[in-house]
Amino acid sequence: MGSRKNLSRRLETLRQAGSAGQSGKGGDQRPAPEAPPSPPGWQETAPLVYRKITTHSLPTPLAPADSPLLKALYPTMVLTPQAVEDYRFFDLETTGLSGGAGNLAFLAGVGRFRGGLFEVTQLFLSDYPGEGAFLDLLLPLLSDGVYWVSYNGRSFDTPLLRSRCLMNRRILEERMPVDLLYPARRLWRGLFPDCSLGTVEREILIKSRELDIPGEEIPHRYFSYLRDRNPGLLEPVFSHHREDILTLAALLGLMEKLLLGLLEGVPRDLYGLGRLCMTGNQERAVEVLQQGAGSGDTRCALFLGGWLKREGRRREAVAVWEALWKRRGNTTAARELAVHWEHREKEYRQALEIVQAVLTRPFPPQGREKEAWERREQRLKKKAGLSDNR
Amino acid sequence: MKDLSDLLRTLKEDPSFLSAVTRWEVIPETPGVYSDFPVLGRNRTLEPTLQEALEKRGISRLYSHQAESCIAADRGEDFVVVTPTASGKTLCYNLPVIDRLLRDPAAKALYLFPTKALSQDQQAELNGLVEGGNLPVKVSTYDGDTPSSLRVSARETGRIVISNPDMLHSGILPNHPKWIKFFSSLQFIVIDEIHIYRGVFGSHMTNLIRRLKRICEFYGSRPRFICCSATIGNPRELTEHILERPVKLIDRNGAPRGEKHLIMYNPPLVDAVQGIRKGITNEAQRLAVRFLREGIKTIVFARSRVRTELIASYINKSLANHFTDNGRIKVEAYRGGYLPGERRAIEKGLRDGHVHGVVSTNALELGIDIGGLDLAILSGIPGSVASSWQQAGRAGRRNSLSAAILIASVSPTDQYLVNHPEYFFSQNPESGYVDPDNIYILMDHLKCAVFELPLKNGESFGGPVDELLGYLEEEGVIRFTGDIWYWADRSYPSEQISLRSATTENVVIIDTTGGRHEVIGEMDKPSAKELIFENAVYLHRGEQFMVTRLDLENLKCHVEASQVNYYTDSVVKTDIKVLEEDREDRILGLKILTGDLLVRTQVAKFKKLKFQTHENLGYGEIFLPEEEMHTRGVLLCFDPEERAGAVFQGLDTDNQRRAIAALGTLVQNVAPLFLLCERRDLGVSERIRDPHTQWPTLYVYDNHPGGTGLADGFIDKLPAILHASRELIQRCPCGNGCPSCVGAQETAGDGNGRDHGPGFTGPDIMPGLKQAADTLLEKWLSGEADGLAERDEPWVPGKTSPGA
Repeated sequence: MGSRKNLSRRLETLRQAGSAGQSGKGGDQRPAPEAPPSPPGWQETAPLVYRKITTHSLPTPLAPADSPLLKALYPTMVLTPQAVEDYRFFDLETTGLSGGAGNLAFLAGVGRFRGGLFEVTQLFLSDYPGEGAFLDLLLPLLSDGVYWVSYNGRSFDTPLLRSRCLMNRRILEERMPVDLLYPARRLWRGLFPDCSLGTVEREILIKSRELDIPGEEIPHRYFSYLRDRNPGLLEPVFSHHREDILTLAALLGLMEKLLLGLLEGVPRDLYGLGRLCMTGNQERAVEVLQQGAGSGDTRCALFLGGWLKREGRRREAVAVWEALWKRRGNTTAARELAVHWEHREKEYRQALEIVQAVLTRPFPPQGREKEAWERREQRLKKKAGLSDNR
Repeated sequence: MKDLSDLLRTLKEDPSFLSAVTRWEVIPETPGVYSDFPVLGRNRTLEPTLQEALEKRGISRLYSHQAESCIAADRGEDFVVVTPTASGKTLCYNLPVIDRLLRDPAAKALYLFPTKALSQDQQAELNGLVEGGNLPVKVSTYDGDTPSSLRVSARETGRIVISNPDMLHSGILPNHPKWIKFFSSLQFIVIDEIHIYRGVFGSHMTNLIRRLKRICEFYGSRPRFICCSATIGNPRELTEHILERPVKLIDRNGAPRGEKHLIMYNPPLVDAVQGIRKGITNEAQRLAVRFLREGIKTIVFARSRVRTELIASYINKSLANHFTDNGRIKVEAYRGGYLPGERRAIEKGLRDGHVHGVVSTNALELGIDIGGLDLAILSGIPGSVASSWQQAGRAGRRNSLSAAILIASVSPTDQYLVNHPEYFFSQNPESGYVDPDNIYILMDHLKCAVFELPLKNGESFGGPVDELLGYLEEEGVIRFTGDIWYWADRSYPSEQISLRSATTENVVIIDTTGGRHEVIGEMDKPSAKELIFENAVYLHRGEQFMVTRLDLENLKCHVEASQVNYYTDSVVKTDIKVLEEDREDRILGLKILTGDLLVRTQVAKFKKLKFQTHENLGYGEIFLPEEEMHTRGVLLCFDPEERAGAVFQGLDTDNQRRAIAALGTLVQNVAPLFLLCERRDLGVSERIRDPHTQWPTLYVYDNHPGGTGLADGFIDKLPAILHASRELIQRCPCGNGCPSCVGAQETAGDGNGRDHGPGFTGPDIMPGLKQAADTLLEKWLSGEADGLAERDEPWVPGKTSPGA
């Protein structure tokens, strides 16, 4: 263990090589951890842990007993009806952006509806040793709810919280996640550059924030705070975090309304909306998809046609395909129609007409697809008594 | 076709072959030592279902070392098994582990292999045992190639998780909360091929084990270690250094062994005066072809990637001449840098007999299953006896004859070994050692450890680390508060730390011939500068390419198919600056300074060497930025105030230059044997008047960033190294110095040409090198007869223990 002996000297050399001129003061003199001053408006509730409770008047989101959003998220589960008071809206701010055991949450927020108002409790961990107490305060706020509404909480916030509990020997009692990122992707993917909470908030809720900071800056601000204890640096972080939770509540209400068809004039992808509705409210889904198909969205028409077929609503399915084929020349629809006329209705000539139309269109199918169409053509000709071979 | 014994008989009657053989050793057949399934504590036997599974595979009794392992594991001992290749080593861990997993349905085991290829081998082997016997033990591989869909199930339900140190380092430990089930019931950690973990890699490994132990402790488990090693000088010591706890050694091999012939072969002299011998590349090719034609399955080991390609293509060419319409004999090249699919295909070809011969770098030295081979040809003897045995052991099956031919190159180490075959046969192989407190390595792992779990003040991490933690705090990556050190940075530290070498980056080699854009291989960045610079010839499985562009920034190298008659070899220039001295010793009247150095290397030009003859066809320029390395080194100072320096001053000016140049070559070539490293792990450079010390000075430094302790170990070994050097000079038959002893003008194709410091060029100083070195060493060493007695060690590297 030779090199440990010369550690100080070696370190000195390393320092010179690394950051010239930076003279450190060594590791022997260090102040005992002291409680930093409370950030303005925050209350110390445990050593090194601060709390701030704010109430906001927000329109109470519809939380119907048979919420279509919950049905979309849990299509195969029978959910017991819950009141909107049982939802917990939560979000964490962390010291790192990737996962791993060295990444912890220093700011946690839980929002809930209480007596017609929206109440947000934020907990702030002002230094590492307070983490146990921080979790002790946070966990009851979460565990007395039934649903945890978050944005990407399923893959980020909840696993992180699970790790933190484990490392502090606490038990996280998990509740049903309602992660709004998933429906958000369905509704808005492709409409905006990304589906981050900030983007959705700006584009859909038309909410603008003063003094907001980019998320990547947050860990940096916290580490600066740990060094110089200037809470001013964190003010924008606190408000950013609170706004995120308010946005969660607003977004939940907006999504429910969209699914119920109570909201018009909001950008959304009709195909995604239709599919989201499908498990909860089929007639609403059909209506949305029809609307999409009518406006020329092929995905809507194809999905709707397939769904109608499986439901045994053939006549409606055929109408959808007819429209798609005639208006947009879609070959998938053409194939569905050919199958329908050939096998269901035994109307071979009608089927043949479609097949030949496909084969003679300006950009006919190629390769294997072309062969399949030609085989179908031969078969239909035979069945219709028009075979060339005679 | 003749069989191997016929062929060996023919060779024995061939005077021209025999005249080049310095030793022909026949290691007789050894019968096996068997044991019944052992009786364990409380009169228990191995689980009946496990015994049945073994019997289904035709195993009804064990070799003695396997039984011994079961008993040791049952007693809760940590142990290391050392037996030769093909001795049934894997059962030494598989038996006790599976036995435990069957008895305790919660128990888990972690297997660590140094390469992914070995992990795959082991997964297949375990699958055979477990599925064949219907044993309820789930075996999961968890490495960089595991798709994310399988990762969760490996973590949650894998009973045996097979991984590698790199994955443990960057994937598993930093995410340990996801592995709670696994770590809390982890009972065995198996480390196979532990002899690989020495030097820098071993120092990383020791720190990784420190981290692993911390995490296990956090989850309340205390797993036992089972390790396996190839034959090295100090397997127990090395294992104990890596695990930092005592272990039991199991080294009585119970497996039978077929007769084995070991032939030491020194290629005939072409020019005795200059010490030039027939080249090993052509000799290896000639011998391999002779055996391959008779259907003998042969492996040829070459010293470098380029050599591997050359020998393989020479063999294929000479076979093609004689078998133009007969493609039955298939010979492949094998080395790192091939795409994984290519390597798997070659391994499989060797196993199923489709490939008859292979030319490999030391990549195949490890226990990758390539089936039984009859003959191993070592084109150049590896820098360590341990490696030599590993490579020679690649030929040999349990019950049949095998042979190995060790061809000596003109390098001094090889010449020493080939002229001292008794050394090779009677000595234990070299020892392995680690320096886990290497400041760079320790600091890197300390960061990871704090990231994984905050460190209590005063908590030991292989020793006290307060000072280092203080340093890291100043750097702003950790925070000390409430008597605990916390990770306080947004980064994920293990991401930036590679266990294998200084850089984590690989250059991808892309074939752009005729507008193509196809990845054909890869290479680590430092090697890329020396091997695939612009206009270099790159050989890949017998195909020849010319480098058109090396883009180090984007880690890309574009090559195009080419048809030239030469290959390329770069010339490296080195410049050294002393940053800080921190130790001064006096040994044998020589002043030795130890300290931190800054070594700058630049690849500035390259040689074009003709295929087959290896003659130099000319030079080309290379334009690449220089590489900087901060490392540890020693300065051997010939201060005239001290005795060694006074002897040195006694030589005339020309002889001073000769003597120091010769000494540099000798040290470079002899020291690796004593330090268990490769030639390239040590840098040596001499200065007739060093600007730093003002004296004639020889620099010996560690060729790894941060140093690996080689320079410090060098001081302890210096007397032995000097005496061995002197003996080498005296025994060398050459006249005025040759590549075998003190060096000479570069021997064509040797590839060992060393870059002397400034002032050493020109042929004028070359005659007399040997005499100058001999005079220096004789006067210097004889004067210290008394002082030597207690420090001096015999010229027996295998017996010396490192840094004690």
